Amino acid sequence: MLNYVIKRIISMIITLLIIVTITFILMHLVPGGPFTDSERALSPAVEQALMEKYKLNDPIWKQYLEYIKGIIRFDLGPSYAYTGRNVTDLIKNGFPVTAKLAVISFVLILIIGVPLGVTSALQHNKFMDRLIMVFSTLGVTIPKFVIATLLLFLFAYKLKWFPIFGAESLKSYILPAIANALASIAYITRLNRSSMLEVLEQDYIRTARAKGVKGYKIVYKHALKNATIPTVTVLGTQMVTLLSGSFIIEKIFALPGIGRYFVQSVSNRDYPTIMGVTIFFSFMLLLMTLIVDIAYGYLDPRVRIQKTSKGDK
Amino acid sequence: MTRDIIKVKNLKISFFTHLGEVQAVRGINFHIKNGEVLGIVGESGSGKSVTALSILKLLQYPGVIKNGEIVFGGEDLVKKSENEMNKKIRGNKISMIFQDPMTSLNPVFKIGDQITEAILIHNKISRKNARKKALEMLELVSIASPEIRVNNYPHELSGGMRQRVMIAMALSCQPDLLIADEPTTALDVTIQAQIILLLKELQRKTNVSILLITHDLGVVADICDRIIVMYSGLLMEEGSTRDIFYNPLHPYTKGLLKAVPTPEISKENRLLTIPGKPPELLNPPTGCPFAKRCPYVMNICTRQLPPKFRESEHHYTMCWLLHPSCPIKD
Ligand SMILES: Nc1ncnc2c1ncn2[C@@H]1O[C@H](COP(=O)(O)OP(=O)(O)O)[C@@H](O)[C@H]1O
Ligand SMILES: [Mg+2]
Repeated sequence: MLNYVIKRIISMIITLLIIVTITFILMHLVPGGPFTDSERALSPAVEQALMEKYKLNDPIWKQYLEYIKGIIRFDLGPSYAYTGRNVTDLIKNGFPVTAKLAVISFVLILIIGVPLGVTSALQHNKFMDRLIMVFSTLGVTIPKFVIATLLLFLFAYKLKWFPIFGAESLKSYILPAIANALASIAYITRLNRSSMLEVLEQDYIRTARAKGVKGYKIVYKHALKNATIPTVTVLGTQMVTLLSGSFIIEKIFALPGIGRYFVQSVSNRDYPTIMGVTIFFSFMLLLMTLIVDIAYGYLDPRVRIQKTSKGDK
Repeated sequence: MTRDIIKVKNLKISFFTHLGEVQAVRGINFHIKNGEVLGIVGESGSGKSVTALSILKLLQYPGVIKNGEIVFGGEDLVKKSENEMNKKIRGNKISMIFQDPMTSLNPVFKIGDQITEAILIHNKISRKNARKKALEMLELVSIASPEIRVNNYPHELSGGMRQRVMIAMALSCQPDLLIADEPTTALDVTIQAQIILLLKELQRKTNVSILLITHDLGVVADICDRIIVMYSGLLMEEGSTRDIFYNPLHPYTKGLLKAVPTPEISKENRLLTIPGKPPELLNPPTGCPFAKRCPYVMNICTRQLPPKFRESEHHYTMCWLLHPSCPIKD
């Protein structure tokens, strides 16, 4: 297992390096520098001074090397828009908010999606199943910003159960997390339902019944572990959905997370922030995928074996 | 005379599908004596598996036991509740092994744990003792280095070994009856023989009664005391293994015997099967279901279902050819 993890970490570093390079190149290919903004209309002298200050007159390869060196020291360079602040600081500032939103969304997916899917499967073609399927179809198809706006209007503005903006208490995260997770919950529900239905048809379930295992134990012991394997494999992609969703969600609910900085940095042509946030998110996603893969191996021994050793005899 | 361990009386099983009622088993009677090995033979679709599953009441929707009694230990299993079946019968008094050992074990649990689970359900013993018992069972089914194998997952074992594990699990609570539904069909020929030999040995050691289901008469010859031949949900012939092999009465049984591979017969001929297909079970014919494929078919065969004719004390067949006034004699 350790071998496998080390291999994965090395490949993660390489992937990250490629992402950094591509982001870096893209940022330098975009026409217009950070200070060539017609609205702000800087005098050539000031612009020159700024270019000098941020070392933008250096050759590209030198800037690139400096940037890589910075990353190794967890220094993502200064922000152009927030003068005097570091991109690393911005991320540090926003991360707790974004992380809280992601974790709550993630927990919602698991504690709602999995049981709903299982319930649906056990009530196959009965009323409950139909009801859950209708809602999950809606959940998958309605865009996040629509759900977010609806929730905000209904529960924060009309009913006043939740604050309209800010991140003061845990309560402030509930509506954003629901809006962010709803599509994933719906997706996981459907996935769990179909995998549970499939698993319940398997021969080993019949074997368990023939042994005298009780009905509920067949579900939560013999079927559930098998049925959640597909769920675990898609958790990585669901993380992507959650994190990229948090950009809009943070904006709509005015949560001071990384996503909000990112949206602002794009309109500000704040290249270091764009790059820094992109790289940081890539890193987080790679890390999640690694964790998910390890969890997958834990759930499914067939995978674990392939990863740990070549021969199993 | 030894007593009957199980007695199945006029068992009828139907599947209520959206197309209508599929009559998978249409009234069969049989019994198994204590320590006896009974074979059920018949082409695929004759209702063998459904019969076996109904004994443990494991039929799945839309299949139901429509009629009949399954008398076991003085009680009718058909009337037993799900809870009673789980507590006293399934895996305890009657256990079952299946056709495909590759898919019959749960892939995410160690085989030791799967055997231990069966033991713990039916015995009030500690987990430690149950594990010890599981080890003994693996040893009993001749699995090499059982102390390593208990910690293996099913995918780490070959098909033959997995079927041995299934047998170990099935026998772990000393059942009175073991139902084996085509236990060798999915295995290589050499492994098939090993598994049959193992069952035979274990039968002698434990005196468990066995209901052995197969579509291949070659498999049952060695191990069965008696054989019943099923076709289209009916019991066509019943007799001792000797009777069935040396004095088959029903044309269907004769046809099945021709399909048994023997060393002398070349490869092309060995897959000789009875021409034609079994009848539709949605609307079974009024007469003998085999009439359409039978080389000796007579007028009466298509009109009326034959009764059971007795040839000798334990040898019965359901065929008009045995009627005293039948013109065809051989
Ligand atoms: N789930 C089902 N739905 C409808 N009919 C079924 C179902 N399962 C079995 N049957 C019917 O029962 C018959 C007997 O099946 P089975 O007992 O599996 O045959 P076999 O002798 O090959 O074991 C089949 O031919 C089929 O018509
Ligand atoms: Mg079958």
